[in-house]
Amino acid sequence: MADPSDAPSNETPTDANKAGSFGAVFLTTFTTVFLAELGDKTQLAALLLSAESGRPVLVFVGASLALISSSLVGVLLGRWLSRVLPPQQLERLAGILMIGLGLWLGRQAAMSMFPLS
Amino acid sequence: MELPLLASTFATVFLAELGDKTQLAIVTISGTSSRSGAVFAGSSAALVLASLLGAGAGGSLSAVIPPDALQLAASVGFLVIGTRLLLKAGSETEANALIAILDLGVRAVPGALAVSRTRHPDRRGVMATDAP
Repeated sequence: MADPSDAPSNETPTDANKAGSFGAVFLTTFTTVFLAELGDKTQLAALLLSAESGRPVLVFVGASLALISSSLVGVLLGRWLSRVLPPQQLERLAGILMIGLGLWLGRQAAMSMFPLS
Repeated sequence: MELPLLASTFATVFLAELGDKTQLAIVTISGTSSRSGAVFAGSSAALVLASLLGAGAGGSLSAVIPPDALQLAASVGFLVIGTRLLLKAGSETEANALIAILDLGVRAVPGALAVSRTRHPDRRGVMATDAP
């Protein structure tokens, strides 16, 4: 998983533990976001818009620009939060948020997989 | 015709995405990792690919694997990341208490199943035996 081109020798073990290599962080983020986004309302909207207009390329460009902008907003928010909050408190908050998101996503998936009988 | 469609797609998707779970996940990952460049690159690549599937192929991956299964996989991923973050935050108080509660919950499920089984009228479990 770790990117060998990323010169891990520059980091002390504790730093490496906190930061991770570029490749590892990239892969984690990519997998998380991609899986969370499949079948999402945004993807359904892009599907609808492209079917309705018959211009899939334009819809793709517009949707991509919008998603890149929103992920830039997210990254900037995260960086700002990491400066405002002490790291331990931020990690605890983030952990609770992630578990909440996981439970919510799992509930959604479970409900459409096994509809209440 | 070109610009209005581009603008309306941008506005629709951008507004729908603000405050969405995906953005919250990005805030979380970027806040707890010092590599915001990698987080931005990874999330952008994932979102572009997802919108390519939406606009172009009409969800070719979701035709092979059911979207519910993918969502379930994502939820497991979120749970793992969240638990790891809580463990990392590691002050031996709230995090450990929460994990203890989760652990208790996981252990309680088989126990509850066993109890409901012994109470089933077809089976004569401990609960069903008559006292003299």
